[in-house]
Amino acid sequence: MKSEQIASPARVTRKRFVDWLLGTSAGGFLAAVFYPVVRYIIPPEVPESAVSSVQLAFAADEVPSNTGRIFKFGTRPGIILKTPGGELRAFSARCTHLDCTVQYREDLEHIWCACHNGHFDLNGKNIAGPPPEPLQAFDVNVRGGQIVVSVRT
Amino acid sequence: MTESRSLLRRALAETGRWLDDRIGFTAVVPFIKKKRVPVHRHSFWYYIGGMALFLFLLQIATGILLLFYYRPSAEGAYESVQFLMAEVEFGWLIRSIHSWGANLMIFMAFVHLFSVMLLKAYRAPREITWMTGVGLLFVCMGLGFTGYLLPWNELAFFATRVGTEIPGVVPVVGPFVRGLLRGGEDISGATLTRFYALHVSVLPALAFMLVELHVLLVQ
Repeated sequence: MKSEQIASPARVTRKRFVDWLLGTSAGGFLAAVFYPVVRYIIPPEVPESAVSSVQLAFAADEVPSNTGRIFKFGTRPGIILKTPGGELRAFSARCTHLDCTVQYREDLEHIWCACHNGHFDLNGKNIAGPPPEPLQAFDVNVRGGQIVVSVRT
Repeated sequence: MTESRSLLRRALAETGRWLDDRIGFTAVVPFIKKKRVPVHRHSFWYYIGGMALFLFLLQIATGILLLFYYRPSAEGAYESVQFLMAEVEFGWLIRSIHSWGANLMIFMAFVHLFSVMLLKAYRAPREITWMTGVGLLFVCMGLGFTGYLLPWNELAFFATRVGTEIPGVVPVVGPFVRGLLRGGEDISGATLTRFYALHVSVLPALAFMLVELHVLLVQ
């Protein structure tokens, strides 16, 4: 009876120790398997050349008054338009609602997003529909007939 | 601590009972728990089959991971593999495991085949286990053959051209079969998408069905 009382705590400790050993080994093994898998699934950072200025593929006189065209601004779409008054303006073409690409509506004479009927005026300001913010505006410069669009600083 | 544990256990037991009332899975529990297999001094040789199964599951897991980055097109395939190897963290590891695992799985399948053959374990009542096993061997080699093209490098291109030329010399149906495999006259992007479809859907589905039957019939 007495020896049992002395022996029993030692036995529990040994069992606990083995349990701990097995548990940490299993945990270590699982970590060694899942750590690389998790790192693998996280997409690697692609060095994105942060575009701050692009020269468009078409000349300034190829954009008539009251029309707009989509162009590539780095990896994003941009929209260039000529107001009925003859002024060139450029904005990011990504609707501030859910990232659809906006277009120029000649009949309405402003920018429109087809996805959820969002409207922006010719300054890029959101005037109707779901868009919560105005479109990001770009600077437009015409050098020798070529359009250069750059980020507004 | 112990209170919360018993609470958790009770919740689990209740969920199990709820599910069992609707699905009735307890009927298969004894079947899954205990399976009688012959034990003898040559049992050691059947471990090889278990290793082949383990490697098969490893191939499924790493194959799914490779699908996250692989692009099955003539323009994108080679680039996506290079990207995987150079840019993706542990991409080299996942691809290397898939490649080594494939070779080892075929090796294990062959060792398993020869041990079963030499121990005469293919006889009644184990014929269907043997037949599904031979079927699995061919499916595995099909997976190896179709997977070999997917890196879309020079070696893959010419190996597949030679490999698809072999059925081409069969009399009468040869050219038709070759065209069927290649998806055209020569190896092209059409062959790549074809082999990709076989490699990631058709052959794995076949392998799954055969493995299930094969393991179910172990006796």
